[in-house]
Amino acid sequence: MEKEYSYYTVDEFIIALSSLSQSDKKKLLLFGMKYCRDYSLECEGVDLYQETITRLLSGSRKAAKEVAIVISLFTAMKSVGNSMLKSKNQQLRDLSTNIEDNENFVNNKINAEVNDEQDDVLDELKHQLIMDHFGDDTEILSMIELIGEGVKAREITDIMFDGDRKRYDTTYKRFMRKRMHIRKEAESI
Amino acid sequence: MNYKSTINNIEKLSYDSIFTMDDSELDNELSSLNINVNEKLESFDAITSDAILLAKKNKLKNARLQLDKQNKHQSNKSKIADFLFKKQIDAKDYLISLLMQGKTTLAFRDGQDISDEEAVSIIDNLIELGEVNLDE
Repeated sequence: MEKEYSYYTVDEFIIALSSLSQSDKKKLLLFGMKYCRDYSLECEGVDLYQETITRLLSGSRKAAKEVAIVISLFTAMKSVGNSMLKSKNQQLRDLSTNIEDNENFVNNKINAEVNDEQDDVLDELKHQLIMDHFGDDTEILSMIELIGEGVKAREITDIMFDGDRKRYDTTYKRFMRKRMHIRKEAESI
Repeated sequence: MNYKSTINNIEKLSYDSIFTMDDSELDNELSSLNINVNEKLESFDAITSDAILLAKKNKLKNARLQLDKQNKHQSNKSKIADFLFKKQIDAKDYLISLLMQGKTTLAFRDGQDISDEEAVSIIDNLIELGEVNLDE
């Protein structure tokens, strides 16, 4: 049976916001920055937070009382990020189809209204953006493939590094941080 | 390839893990981003305060609009009562006269039985819609 939630009113949500600890804010900041950099969004983590908080305080999005406020903000920020990514992708698709074929452009508009299909397109785009960060690094590409298949850290350690946890940790850290460096390099060009 | 589950697994590992980090792990990760963490955290607080202030202002604005609307309706109702008293007719009779002029086809519902209060509300709505002007 689906769980029924009760939701904060805007006034209650304002009070709940004051319970955010400094650690919670750091977590949201880190998530926001990683998300924007992972998917090459032209915004910063604080922008995702700003859009999210605006939606929650205007009442256009609601937070469940049964969920920790930091988690509600995290899922809402992710959803805002996904919308931005979808919109950016659609703009690019519209632009290219517009040039190629006007009929296709109209069809794409119709297709865009089918949410499931749009979500599939979004996941494929996300996958492509992540892989693009590591075009030359076969070790990390293999690791991403295994992570994507849901293989656990211990099994990845056995499969890729003969059980050497230290090598797994080093490669994983590279996977997590290289994306940030690549973004920085791109910004400096 | 099933992109949905692939991305789900990658994001679970990349993002969900952030929410189980302790303070020192968080500080390590944040310092690797080459940003001024304190400045960013201050931005978070400023964004929150500004958004709360805006939400409170909007709430006040909406409450004022609501009150203005109520006052306007109240004033319209007094005006309607004075108008009907001067004309020596009741609200339903006035609505029938409007029906004859073709101004209440939707509102008056073909003369179905309605209370005086409802009739006054319909006249009030017609004033709002600009269909009726009691000053003419």
